[in-house]
Amino acid sequence: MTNNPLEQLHVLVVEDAVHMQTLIKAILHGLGVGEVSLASDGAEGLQILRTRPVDIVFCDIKMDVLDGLEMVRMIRTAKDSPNPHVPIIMLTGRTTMADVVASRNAGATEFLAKPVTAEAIYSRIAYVIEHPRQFVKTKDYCGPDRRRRINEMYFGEERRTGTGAIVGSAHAQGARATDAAKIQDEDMVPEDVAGHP
Amino acid sequence: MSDKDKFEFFLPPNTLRAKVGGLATLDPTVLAAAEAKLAELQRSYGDWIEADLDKLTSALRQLKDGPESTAGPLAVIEGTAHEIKGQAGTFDYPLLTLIAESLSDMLRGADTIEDRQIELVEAHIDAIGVIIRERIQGDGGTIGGELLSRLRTAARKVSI
Repeated sequence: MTNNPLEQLHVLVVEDAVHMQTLIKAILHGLGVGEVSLASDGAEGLQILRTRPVDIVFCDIKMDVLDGLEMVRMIRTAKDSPNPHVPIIMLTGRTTMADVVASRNAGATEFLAKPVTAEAIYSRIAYVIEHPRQFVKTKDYCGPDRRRRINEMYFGEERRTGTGAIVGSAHAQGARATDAAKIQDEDMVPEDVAGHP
Repeated sequence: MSDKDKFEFFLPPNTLRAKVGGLATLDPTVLAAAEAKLAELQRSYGDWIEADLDKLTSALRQLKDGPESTAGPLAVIEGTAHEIKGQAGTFDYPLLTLIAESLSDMLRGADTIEDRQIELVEAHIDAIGVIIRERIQGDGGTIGGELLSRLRTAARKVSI
């Protein structure tokens, strides 16, 4: 039994900030991931996905050329998508409700809020491997079942206490706290599957 | 049932679990090694980001010198600020994230700018410069508070 369970994985990081690419790649290799590919935008990411098998995708939301949300939609729904079920973890510097809902509706699997830590990256990888999500396919959507409540989604930093790090502006923190409190009471069933079992 | 009501639930095969086996806990030495690598990169970030500061100051100079075309320099400043915003916090420069976010939000979609607004842009870039040159990590303590206070005062005088 190998002491490095992640060495068989090929992870794709789609992120337009060069220093973040360097950092995430270094963390992934430090955690033992065998192969890490980098892309600076969604178009480049799709090209890599078509070239060889990818096990997990980390993807920034906002990028030029083809942004993260559009890339996720194409992975999930394009007829020539090489792996429409690949786990996709959205990297987000601002976890507002709008970003979360947009990512969910595009077909993202999980989220990782910046600033990232080695432990958070590992936790996301372990989570998508240990908790594979049921998919749903409708006329307008293909991706993880969106009926899971937002407060069950794995955010990482926001669900931990005592991290000591300043995450975003005070305004953003307030917005996230407000959003989290609001969605606790909401059933996030999207309209197109409402009423279906 | 019409086409628009049709749906399908399915569980894709978990090929990843088969590949890596169980991932209940991470070897602490592996995590420590990854965190050490992160700390090393955090120490280098101050050097890396000096190139971004050069881009900002150069674009600011173009804004101040030449009224002919502001769209280009504005795009450079907004794009560089957007990049800094997205990564600085991870490298333990959260003040840079705050200030770069403010600058990026202010200029998003702008292709023209008034002179008094250039002063506010300059105030942001000056603050970014202080943080980078002095390597002000974390919340920056007294200096960090002073920088943010000055920016808020400058912002109140100008509206974009």
